[in-house]
Amino acid sequence: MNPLQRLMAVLDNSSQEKLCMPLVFGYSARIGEVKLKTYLRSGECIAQCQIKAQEKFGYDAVFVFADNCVEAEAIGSQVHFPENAYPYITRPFLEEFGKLKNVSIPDPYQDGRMPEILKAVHYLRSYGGEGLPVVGVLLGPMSIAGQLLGLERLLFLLIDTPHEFEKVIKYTSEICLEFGLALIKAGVHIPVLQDPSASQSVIPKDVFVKYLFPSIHTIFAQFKSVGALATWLMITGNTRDILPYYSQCGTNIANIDYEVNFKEALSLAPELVIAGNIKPYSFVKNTPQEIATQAKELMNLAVGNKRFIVGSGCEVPLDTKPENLLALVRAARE
Amino acid sequence: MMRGVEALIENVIQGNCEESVIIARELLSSGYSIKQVVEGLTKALDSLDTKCNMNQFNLLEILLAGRALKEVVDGVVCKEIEKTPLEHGLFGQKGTFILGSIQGDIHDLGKNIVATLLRTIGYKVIDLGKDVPPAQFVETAIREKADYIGISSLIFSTVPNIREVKRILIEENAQQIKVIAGGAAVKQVDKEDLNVDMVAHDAFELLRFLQSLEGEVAR
Repeated sequence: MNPLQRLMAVLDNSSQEKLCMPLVFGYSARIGEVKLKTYLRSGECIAQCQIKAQEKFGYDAVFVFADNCVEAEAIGSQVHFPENAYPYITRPFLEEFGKLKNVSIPDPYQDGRMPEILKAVHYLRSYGGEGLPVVGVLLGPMSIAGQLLGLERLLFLLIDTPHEFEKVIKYTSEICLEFGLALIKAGVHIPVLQDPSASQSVIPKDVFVKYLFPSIHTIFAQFKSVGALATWLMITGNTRDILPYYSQCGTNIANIDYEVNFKEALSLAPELVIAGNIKPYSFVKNTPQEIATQAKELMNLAVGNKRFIVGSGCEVPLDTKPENLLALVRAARE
Repeated sequence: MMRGVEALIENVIQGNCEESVIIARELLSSGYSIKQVVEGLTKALDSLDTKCNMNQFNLLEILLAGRALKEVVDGVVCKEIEKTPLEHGLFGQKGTFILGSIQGDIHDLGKNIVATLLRTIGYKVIDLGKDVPPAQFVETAIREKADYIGISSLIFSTVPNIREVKRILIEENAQQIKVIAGGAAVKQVDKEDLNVDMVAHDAFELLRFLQSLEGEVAR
């Protein structure tokens, strides 16, 4: 079986093999020996580094993702790029809320770095063909909104003027939808909606259900209508109480972070493929033996459950030890 | 009907900003002391701490409660103390905290909440803001004769910068200043790996740690 066949088998609940997809994003720049700043701004570089990392470790996907500023930058936010760390927005674009009336949805084919991201997808599809899943990661509505207003202002908006909060989420959901559709049209097999600010660690379950659930539902339905093989929801931190809603949102794969008990997640969302949930810092701190043990423990917990992807709870850190990623993949293959 | 300290506690927990301020003013005008109001605020903090321990915590609730606390502290408590400073000489004497988001990180929500909580329980807080170089934490701490440096970080790539703070403190012979790290990025990391004196998993763990140190000093 090639990785794409393995993925399809897991989605069909008929897999005899374990799927291994640690979330290797910017770390692949280290493997490709390029500066993160260069990686994040070049689609070709993202693709080349992703290929190098996938070939080196042998896990089951390549990931197209730059950083959490891509969407906000495409709208017009100013972004600072340190040499070897992830960028950040220097000033929230929607400092004045009234500005929302005058902003348009960014064009994925023209604005900011979105065209570079699409270039990476084209490159990876021509490299991997129909054998290697290309996973495209985009930021979810709540997190884009946090980038545009600043999280503190966004949360106060939610409580003080909920109708304005709704307008912001409607706008950011459209950004997410347009970018996601472009990623799928470019060749992404599976879009990942990454929305860390939608975590229960940030907002209560009720807020997720009332404001974000409908948006995610619409976005995922559209993604599937244009050919996404599956939809993947990645919300970091605590997601225990919102996990049962994932399926109703149209989610197929749920990434769970280390803060969520793995066994509990399997029972809370039995119809989903559960991905995770090794603590990302373990890839820096632990030994290969310890990583292999953690992976095997997860696989033992998932015995009988074919809908499982062994990987990290969140992105693996930039200073991950290569031997630890190798140990993870080996453990999955044994 | 006159409302008591319990109403203040409940409204702060619920994040009802304006109501909390009104109740605090009512309490003072009806004869309650500043100390009793502050004790009420501290009880509200304890209650939030309990929720946090039961994993019923989310940033939104803490942010709202933090805003209510800040309004009561700034709008009522501090103003009252300004009127009769000698009477309240012990306020703000628990220690000095230098607080900031470490270089490479511009998230400051968690840090702002911590600053509010620390001020509420009587610490002097000097907030250096975001993207603060390690050396600036140390320089300010030495200049201000601070007791603590609080480093906030949401992103992983800042870990090497966090490690630097203690190293510079030792170089400057100021290792008596305790370094505390907190934030989403550092929750997974041990204090030894971060080269700090404590890793606070949440704001309340920090407050408990400070209380334990106060207890040691008192003994």
